[in-house]
Amino acid sequence: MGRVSGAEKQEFSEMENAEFSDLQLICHVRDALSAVTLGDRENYDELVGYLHRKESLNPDDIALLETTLKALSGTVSCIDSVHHESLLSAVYRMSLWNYGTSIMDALIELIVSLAASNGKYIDWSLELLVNNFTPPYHLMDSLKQESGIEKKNKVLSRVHAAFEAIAVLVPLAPLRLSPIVVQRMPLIYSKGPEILMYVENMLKLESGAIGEIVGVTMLPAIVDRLIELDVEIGWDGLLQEDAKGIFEMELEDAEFADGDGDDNMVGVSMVILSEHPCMLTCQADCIQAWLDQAVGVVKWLCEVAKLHMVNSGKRPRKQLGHRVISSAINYNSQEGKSLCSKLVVDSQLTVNFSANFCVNCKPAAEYLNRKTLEGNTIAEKLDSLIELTFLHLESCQSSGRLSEVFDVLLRSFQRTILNAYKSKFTQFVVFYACALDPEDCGVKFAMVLTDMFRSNFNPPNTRMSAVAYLASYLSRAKFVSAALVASILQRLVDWCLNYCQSHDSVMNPRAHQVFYSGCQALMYMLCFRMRSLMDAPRLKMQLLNMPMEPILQHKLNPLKVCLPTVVVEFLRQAKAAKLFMTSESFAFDDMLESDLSRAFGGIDRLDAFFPFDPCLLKKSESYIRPHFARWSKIKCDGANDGDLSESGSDASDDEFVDMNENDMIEDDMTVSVQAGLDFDPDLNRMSITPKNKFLLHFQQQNARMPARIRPSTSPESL
Amino acid sequence: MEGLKLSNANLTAYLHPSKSRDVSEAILRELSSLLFTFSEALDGVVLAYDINSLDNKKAKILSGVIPYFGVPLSLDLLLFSPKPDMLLEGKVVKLSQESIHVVVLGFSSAIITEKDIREEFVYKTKHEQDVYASKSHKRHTIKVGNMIRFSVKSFDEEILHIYGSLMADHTGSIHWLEKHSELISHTSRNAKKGESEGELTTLKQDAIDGKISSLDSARKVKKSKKQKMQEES
Repeated sequence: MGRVSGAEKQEFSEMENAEFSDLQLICHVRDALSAVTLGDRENYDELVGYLHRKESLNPDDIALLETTLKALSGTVSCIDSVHHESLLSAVYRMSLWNYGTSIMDALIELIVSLAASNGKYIDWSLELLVNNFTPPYHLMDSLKQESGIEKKNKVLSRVHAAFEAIAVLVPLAPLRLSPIVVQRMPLIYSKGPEILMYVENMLKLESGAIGEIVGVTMLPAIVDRLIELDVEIGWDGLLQEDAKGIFEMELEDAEFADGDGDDNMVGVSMVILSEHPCMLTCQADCIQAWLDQAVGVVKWLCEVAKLHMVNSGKRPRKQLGHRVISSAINYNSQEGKSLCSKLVVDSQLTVNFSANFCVNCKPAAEYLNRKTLEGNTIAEKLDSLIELTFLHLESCQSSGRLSEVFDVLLRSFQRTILNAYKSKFTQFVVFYACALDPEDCGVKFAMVLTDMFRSNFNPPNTRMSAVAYLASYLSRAKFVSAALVASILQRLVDWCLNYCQSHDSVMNPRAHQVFYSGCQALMYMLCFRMRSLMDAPRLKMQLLNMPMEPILQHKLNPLKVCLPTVVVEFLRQAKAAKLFMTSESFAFDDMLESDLSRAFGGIDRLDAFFPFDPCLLKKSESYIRPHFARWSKIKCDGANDGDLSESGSDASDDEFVDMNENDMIEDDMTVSVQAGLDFDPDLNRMSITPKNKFLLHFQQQNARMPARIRPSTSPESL
Repeated sequence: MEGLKLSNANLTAYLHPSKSRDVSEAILRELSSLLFTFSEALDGVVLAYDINSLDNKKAKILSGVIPYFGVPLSLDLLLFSPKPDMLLEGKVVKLSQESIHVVVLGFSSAIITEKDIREEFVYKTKHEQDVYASKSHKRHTIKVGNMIRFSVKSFDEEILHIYGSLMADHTGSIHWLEKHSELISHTSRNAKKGESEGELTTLKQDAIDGKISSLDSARKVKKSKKQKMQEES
């Protein structure tokens, strides 16, 4: 391939010479191509050779390559898929990312011409263009710099322009593009940046010129991928991330004050990573006890770490040890050092403890920070993808297309997300779309869910999850008007009443599960929205006129069957608002769930299904936050009604309120993490995960939590 | 324009039991999946359908793991099936030294390569526009956006791609051809047998308007199945 016969080389290097016009070049190439069929491959092989050059192209090479490509564009009809196979495979392997703009343009022209010339090459050309959605491996890292971003824009703009050009020449091409793009989506186990880039391209296709045809398949495919990532995240894995993430939020911009410990409040953070993560912090006066426990904890953690991969799995014990120790140091040098020595002796950690180390030891914050950034875990991927989708929705809204996009999204929701009970965060995509356009999309979503619930044609599980979504949505969406909530409540109440009147039977969780889920939804919504409804006189009248007594005191006995926490909270609020009283007292002993609720919930536990509970993915959560109603805020507003019969962490919630706001973490975050798995507005009851005996011990010892999370002393100050 | 035909077909649509609640919608969905695909049985690309009758009372249930049921239908179909040597009309979307790209009926792409363009036409770039100009007739030009008539060489059924040719004399820009129809029909009478002149001019008339009127092409309807049924009955 390297050998170039004299005459040929002269021809090509003189291409700037007016003597050799484009026509002559094209003739030459045509002859070379047709000669192959006769067995003469010399010129042809040379041509192919030019195409293979990739590395370090000097200007001559570049010109040569460009000319070759342009000449080939002019002779596409002579290219035969069988005889010229090596030529086609050479072109297929060329990636736009490797070349400059002139070659990019020439290559694109070739691809478009090939696609238009012969039906056989349409799929081939489309696949080649889709291959260019992501850069080759060695260029992935350069994307973070500005030059990389510039290159990316150049390549992608050309790729998408090529799609449009092909669509003009071959009108049916976009139809064939959809399945190709969907098939080539990277799997969930691919690297994060690759997935992100590909999805970015898909979204670009969706909003582009051929979006009308292609867009209908793009969004559902993306949602499917989101769900796949979502169900891969076990609660444990995520909370592990999240615990670190919470630290990150606070500690990143923590200013580590210099100076001695007198001025600084003492805060020590320790993360206990375990099968059932939770976050505990201690106050200054508990430090001795803490130290003892810390040793125990570290030992225990080492045992646990032996069994589990912590973080990226690299030498877990040492990392754990580091973390605990550095936290201790942040607190106080004396105690810290004593802890260190204890640990070294007790748990045989191979940690080097010198003064230098103590001083150089990074504060917990940075340490944790680095750990979170390393490795593309599934949660991070999901987080970034959801963020990308949010940004796309925002751009759809600014270009006025949100309504159509929302219809596609809603259909996809009904087909996949609604019945995927392990889906934890994907549904927030719909939530955000509603938040962007409350009057249209927000109302549509609520109506569709209500109709799904009321329609007899849907299977019971679908109806139950639809109403669970409805309840969670209307409770958590700040942007939904109280009037809409009232009207939906009215419909639900009417349906329930109708059901009661037509079913004259006793309590039976399994048989009447749809009814019980409807009642629970009613109560849940009222827990959140009672106050806002009562504040508006017209809605208050409507609420008071709703026939809730006949429903709740019917033979079917929903108050006994529904989730106890919800029932108790509802009754408390209803009593305070004089909405509804019950003579029976419902003391559930602080149980989250009862056998009856489990019975109506079924295998999928639809009784404890609150899909829009706080989103635990950091980046996505920041988008959702302004539109999301938090339980603690609602509780605080209605603070003094009745007695607060909740657990200790509620008390600490109030404590939070008193503290300086800058130092607090968001209530629900703490709450949700503390509780283990927060499905429910009422907090700490829930440990869906089996209680760990150590945790229990610790909790009992030190049930009242945080002062400040943020360590305020830095090692330097020691 | 040739290649379009109106057909009457008796089909059976097999539906999944879950669709039994709303049969009409399910049938429409099944039929929609036929559109713009080439069907061997019907010998053409289905462009449009119109349901004549559907027999709701006599759907046969197939035995099997999933008991699909078959609803008999009678349809009118508009089919597109270009055969070699047929004349088609389409809009030019791209011109190059090497080829002319045409789109027929808005969905089918056609290409006429250089070797299938008669010597009369020469590729030029006039006023920054690519154009194929005729050497013998000054006014006969083909530009991007013009409607041209060409003859079919072959048809790729999978991608609905047509390979065309401009070799015959009565092919070229429709606008010009219409004006000089006498010249053309004179040569065509000699060249082709069995094509009536009246039909040709009517076709040209329609093509100029840019519409494909199925009513006119219905004149040349090949109601093959219907004819067969009539013959049978």
